[in-house]
Amino acid sequence: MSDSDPHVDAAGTWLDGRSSRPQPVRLRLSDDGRRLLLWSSLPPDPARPPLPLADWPISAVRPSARLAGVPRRLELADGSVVETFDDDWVDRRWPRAHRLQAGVHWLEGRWRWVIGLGVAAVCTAVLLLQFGLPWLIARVADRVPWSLERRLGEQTLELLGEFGMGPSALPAERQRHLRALFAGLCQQLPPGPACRLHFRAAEMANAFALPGGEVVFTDRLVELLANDAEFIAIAGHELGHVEGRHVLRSQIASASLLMLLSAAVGDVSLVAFGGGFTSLDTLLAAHSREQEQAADAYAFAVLRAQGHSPAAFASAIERLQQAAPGRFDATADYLRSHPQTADRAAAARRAAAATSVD
Amino acid sequence: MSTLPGEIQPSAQEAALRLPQRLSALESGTHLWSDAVQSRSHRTRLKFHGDWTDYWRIWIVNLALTVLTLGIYSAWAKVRTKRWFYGQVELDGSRFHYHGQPIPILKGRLIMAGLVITWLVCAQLGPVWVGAALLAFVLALPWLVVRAAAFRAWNSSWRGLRFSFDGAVSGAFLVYALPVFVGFGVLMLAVLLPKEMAGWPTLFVALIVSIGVPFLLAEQKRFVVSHHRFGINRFDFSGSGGTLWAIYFVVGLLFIPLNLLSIPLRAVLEGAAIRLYQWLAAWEWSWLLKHFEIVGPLLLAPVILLASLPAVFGLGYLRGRSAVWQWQDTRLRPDIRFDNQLNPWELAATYLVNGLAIALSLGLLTPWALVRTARLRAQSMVVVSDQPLDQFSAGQQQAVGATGDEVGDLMGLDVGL
Repeated sequence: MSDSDPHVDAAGTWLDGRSSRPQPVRLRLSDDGRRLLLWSSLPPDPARPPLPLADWPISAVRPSARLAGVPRRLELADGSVVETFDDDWVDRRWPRAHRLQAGVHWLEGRWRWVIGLGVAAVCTAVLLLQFGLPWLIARVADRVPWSLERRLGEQTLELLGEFGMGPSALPAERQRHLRALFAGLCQQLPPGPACRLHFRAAEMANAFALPGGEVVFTDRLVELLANDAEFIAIAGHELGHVEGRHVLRSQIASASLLMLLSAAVGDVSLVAFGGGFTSLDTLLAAHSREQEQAADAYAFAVLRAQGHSPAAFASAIERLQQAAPGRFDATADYLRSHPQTADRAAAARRAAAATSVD
Repeated sequence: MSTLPGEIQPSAQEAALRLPQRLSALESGTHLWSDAVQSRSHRTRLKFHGDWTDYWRIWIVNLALTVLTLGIYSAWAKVRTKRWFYGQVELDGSRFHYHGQPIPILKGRLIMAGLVITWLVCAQLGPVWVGAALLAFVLALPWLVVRAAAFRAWNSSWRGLRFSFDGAVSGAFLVYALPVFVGFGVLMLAVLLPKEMAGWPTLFVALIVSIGVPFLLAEQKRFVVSHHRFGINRFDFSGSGGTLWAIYFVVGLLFIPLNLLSIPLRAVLEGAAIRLYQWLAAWEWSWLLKHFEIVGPLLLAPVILLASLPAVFGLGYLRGRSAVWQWQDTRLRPDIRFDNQLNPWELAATYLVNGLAIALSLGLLTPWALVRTARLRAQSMVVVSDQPLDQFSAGQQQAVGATGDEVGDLMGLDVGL
């Protein structure tokens, strides 16, 4: 094959690295194949003996990696560069240069491989986000000392006033009674969390757990609950979040997703960043469904341990939903994937049935 | 001395004789005059050669290998992407080249990840830590700007000559960090004043911000552009904040109707997405959705992108106007200027179509969008020079680490040429 003949020339442009004047050249290997010679493409001057413009041992030439549609560069030891579009010529002379990127170029040239890799990447990304990331986050959260998490909780508690949550107006007697119940629940927790109950005045009937085991009930919620069992059901759910360190986990999750996102959209620009950023919060909520279920299960166990039926959980959250219908079954929850109240109540009744059979 | 009146006389006479000729040439129309200038000057338009299907394959392989290597390949991916885009742009028969190497970029990315983690931890630890982190960030900003600009410049070349950036950190401090401190000081003053006077400082701050920011942006542009070199040849920037102010004013007016448009648009689109999800959930294969909860929220991403299309349109217009503004007052040496013929409305329309295509293809047409934007931007640019473009000489410079560039990427720092 004449093509593999080392004496076949490739056309190129020589840039001396000192000025921006390009010189058209022909690239040729010496007879022994060990030196790269550059000959001017201009007609030879009969008055002067023919000499190559440059002459370098092949080992002193550094070729760039192959990339579709981009000229190949041969960097010479003196800082000058030869550019050529004859990729095959370069590949034959320097077969061992940039092996990794040569492999990548091979992949890029094959549609089946490209599409196969794309599908594999999408599957891997979904699996990583769905299972890999939560697993990693749980391991990281386990390593955060409780003392640090308690500090985070105390700081958030101080900020509650700024979110329109004033001091509670509940009668002192009722507060004392509920605190005593709550203290009983705390004994089932592993050592570490502060496990403190707080009451706050707020518009909405709600309860939530802060990092470090601070649990907040709003006055509206306390007034709404019919009996101690329903209080224990809701408090148990929140302590389930405390026990699983769910708040800390979701904070770590939001941080790591933010990092992933900023890395992923590096070359897609602002617009994609905005879109990704806003769907971040929905992405986070996707992980919370599992956490809600785990917290519900913890609440059922707490109710049983305190001698109540898990059915109290069902009546408590149904009462909550009646008080604020829009909040628990908003259509957007389809996408935000909070578990539906009906499903949760049904799960509680199933747990209650199982308990009574025992 | 030797300049006797008699010696000057003939040339003055000649000039007096020529003057009417010149005047009549001007009066008969500017054609003659501009023809003369045109014949002396070389107008060289940038060409863009890339085919989007080539880039599509590079893009997919980049994404796939990045995911499969848990992000490590992203440094190699960046190099291949940049090399491809630089290598498609041709000026006067020669392509541009990107010199960045994967390993420094990987190091820069690791440092950036460390900084992001530090920031996120500080954000959890309370306001004092957030304040300290912000202060550290503002103090580091000038250094970051200089390093990012230097890395980008030094890793770009044309015809074997590299670009370079020689701005000093102290100069960057004046235009990037100092105004933040001044602005913060004025804000503090407004907060500390007694309540009866509270309205006035707020108005004052708003006035300073709206008038001062375009001028500040112009000074930042001047700092960045005028410290760039190509070989030994210096760039210069003579743009004014006044023109930029007018641009921002027009864009501000444009954004009011665009934002009004996006509110109902978003409501309609979200409703459609929920209906789509419900339809999918009722489908035989809905167990897939239940096991992979992440799929549902991901459906929202194109909805959000579609809803933000009016803003995207405005952004395209702003970027187009800003680019034209920047280049019309940029010189390379005194004799080379840049005639950027980009039509801002065309760029805005391009952005709009790109957004639609990306959203409806679930991201798969991103390479197509990037390539057509790059083509439009490159081919609008005409380099105007008196001499052919092969008269530049090289300069001396050192290689630069990639940390500034990576952090700059994250913050969307606009420090390139």
